[in-house]
Amino acid sequence: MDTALDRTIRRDISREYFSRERLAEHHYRSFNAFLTRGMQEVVDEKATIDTDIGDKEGEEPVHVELGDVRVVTPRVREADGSEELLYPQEARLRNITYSAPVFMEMSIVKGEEGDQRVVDSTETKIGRMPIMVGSEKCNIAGFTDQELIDIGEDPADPGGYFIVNGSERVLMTSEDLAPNKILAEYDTKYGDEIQVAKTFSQRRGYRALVLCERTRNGLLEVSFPSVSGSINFVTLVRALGLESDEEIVHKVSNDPEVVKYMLENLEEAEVQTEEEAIEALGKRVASGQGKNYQLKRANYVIDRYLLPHLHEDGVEEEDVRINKAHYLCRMAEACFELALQRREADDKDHYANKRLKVSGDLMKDLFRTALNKLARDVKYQLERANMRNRNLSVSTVVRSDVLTERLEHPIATGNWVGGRSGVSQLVDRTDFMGVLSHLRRLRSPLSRSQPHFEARDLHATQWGRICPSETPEGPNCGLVKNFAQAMELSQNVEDEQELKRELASMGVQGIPGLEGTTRTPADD
Amino acid sequence: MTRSTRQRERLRETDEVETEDQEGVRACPECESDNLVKDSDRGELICEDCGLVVEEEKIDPGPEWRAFNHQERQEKSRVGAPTTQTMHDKGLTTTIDWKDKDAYGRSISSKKRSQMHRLRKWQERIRTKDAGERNLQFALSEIDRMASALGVPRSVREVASVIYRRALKEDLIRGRSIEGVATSALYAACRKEGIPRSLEEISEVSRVERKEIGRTYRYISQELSLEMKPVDPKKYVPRFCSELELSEEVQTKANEIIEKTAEKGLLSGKSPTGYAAAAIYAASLLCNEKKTQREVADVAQVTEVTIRNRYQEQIEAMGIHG
Repeated sequence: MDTALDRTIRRDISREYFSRERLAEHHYRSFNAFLTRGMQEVVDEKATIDTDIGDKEGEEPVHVELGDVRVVTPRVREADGSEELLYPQEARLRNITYSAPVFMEMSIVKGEEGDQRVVDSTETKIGRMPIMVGSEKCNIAGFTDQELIDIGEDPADPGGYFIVNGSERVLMTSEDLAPNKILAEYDTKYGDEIQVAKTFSQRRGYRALVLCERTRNGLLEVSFPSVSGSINFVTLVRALGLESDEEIVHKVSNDPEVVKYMLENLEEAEVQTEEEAIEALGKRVASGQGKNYQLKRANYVIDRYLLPHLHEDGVEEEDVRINKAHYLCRMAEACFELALQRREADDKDHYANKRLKVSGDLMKDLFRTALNKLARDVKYQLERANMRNRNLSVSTVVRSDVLTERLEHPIATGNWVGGRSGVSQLVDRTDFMGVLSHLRRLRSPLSRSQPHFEARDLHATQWGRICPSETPEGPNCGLVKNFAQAMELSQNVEDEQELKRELASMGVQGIPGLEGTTRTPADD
Repeated sequence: MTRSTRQRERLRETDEVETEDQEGVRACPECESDNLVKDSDRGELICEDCGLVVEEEKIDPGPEWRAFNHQERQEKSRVGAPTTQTMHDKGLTTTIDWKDKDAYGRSISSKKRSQMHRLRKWQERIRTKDAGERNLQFALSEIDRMASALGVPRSVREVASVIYRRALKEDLIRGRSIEGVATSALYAACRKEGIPRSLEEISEVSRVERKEIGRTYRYISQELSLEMKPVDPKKYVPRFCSELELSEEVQTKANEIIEKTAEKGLLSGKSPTGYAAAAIYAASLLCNEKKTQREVADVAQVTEVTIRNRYQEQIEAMGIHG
């Protein structure tokens, strides 16, 4: 007797679900989001291309301003110059790439601040972007079954892959620890068990690991990229603006035991004021250089490499440092709570602590690097043209091959920016199920040769999200997973400030003294 | 028995070389047919008509290994990319691989990494030696840029690079801008490969004015004795028609018009772009997909007057009531 839903009812619900949602839906959502918003975000981050023209006497500074970016549907340009719409089957047969031209508004601006004039401004083709079959900008999007058959496509084909040089390639979804979250765990150093709080701070493609550990003496040390070894916690927090002892202790915690630990730490402190702290930091990062350079470098390192994710759009620069200090105090609190066993070590296999990178996110990283390379090339061409006293015009300065090559090559070979390989794979066309399984696959970046027992285990949070049975035998058992049948992937929030306002209006209180946005009082 | 097989072969080969055409298309020495087929199983070149074995014991230039998928092929292959004339070093210099890993696949220490970074930088800089090479490098990158802006295929780039190298060797660049000669080389290459781009189109992507391109081109083609046939207006038809979004029917009709009227000698002395534009205009009228003279003129970058004149001449010759 079926106490749950009747089997026929379950089957009907399933069928209804799959008649709406496509099987590779997460690929489409991610890629469409990338095309509509992601590309523009990357361009807006870059905003201008600066050149070295104008550094010499008698020359006006020149820079290029980047405007809106726009992608059309895929077309092919024949040898005789004619251009036609490209359909996926033709791309597969002719071994060409199913890509669409990308246009961007660029303006060359000459002159100093306040006295600038636009020398040339056009929308020019900057390259070609490979388009996912079946996505928004695909030529066969929205075709009926009969139309698909006429154009040579299989109506049952799920799409969700790219066609590069004639071969169909899928971008593998990969899972990573969630960025911008504090994770506490035990670790061993020189045989002793210590407590560590880690955060992967991510901003605009740059991912920095910030560590706060409590050594066997009970002292707190912080380590972050570009600085070798660790820095004393108190020194760093003082350099960020929290000077007095009470402030520091108060920010970490109010619990008496934690306060005791903090006081121990404060006794051992080497610096007392903000200036001293920055000096000490400067000596650390640029030892043997002049004092000025040391200070400059210390400030640069703090702003660039320590917790970069706190540099958000809505926050003032002065507040950012205090925010960083607060964040470090939270990490210290996590360490102490772990030491006092008030808090359990975070489970790195719990899916709440994991995020998935789908095709759109991967393409965004790729587009960012490609755009940077294009910017460098444009800078070089501008400088050279200026040296030969030619007229600067947008169409002669942009080389479309640069961007195209940088986008197609990683998809074709699988070697992604950031040194990962095997990101793009040839679609497994053994049978229809093979295709579906391949599109819904999930890879872990952990090394295949290590045992990683916990990572390979089936975790309770995989219920309803990841298939418990479909995983390969052999070296990648448990590291390569497949999505569950009715799994839905949530997308990230577009506008974080709006999220904060929404939370504030629901009554979530900010940390006292920390104003991220204007607070609206709770309505109830 | 007086001569060994090897010597007999060598004699036969020298005979063969004489009967060969310059292009390498050979004729059977006995029956004069050109139906020669390679049999790779036995390494022979045989005549299909009379059965003569023209060449035997041909050495197979392929690899000694087999590969069953792309990955295997990558691993076993010991050759790199083909040499190309589009790079100033013909693609022959090597670079240090971007991956910071040693031969075992392990990551290398940070000191070694920065050392490798410096080595890469210097290797990049050493690639270009003297002024001549720098000139070549700049010109080749200009050709590359313009070619990708125009969307012409790789083969045209190679031809253009070869023409430029010849011009450099004959010292024709003296007194002219590098961009000018590079642009003319590209223009010549496009014409040679049968996909001509009009001077207007080329001047759009070039840093040089149209007149100078024309002048430099005439000089270069004369000095290097590039034999250039006059441009066939039919070559412009597909591009203009696709820009005007006209159907295949119009294209075929336009080609027909061009063929018929060119036979009657209307083409001589007239600009091929204008001629093609007029033929397209006429075809569009005939196939009821009318485009205004203005539109056609914009696409072909000629004046409306030119189109009107050529059009009148063409329909007169075709005998159609205009």
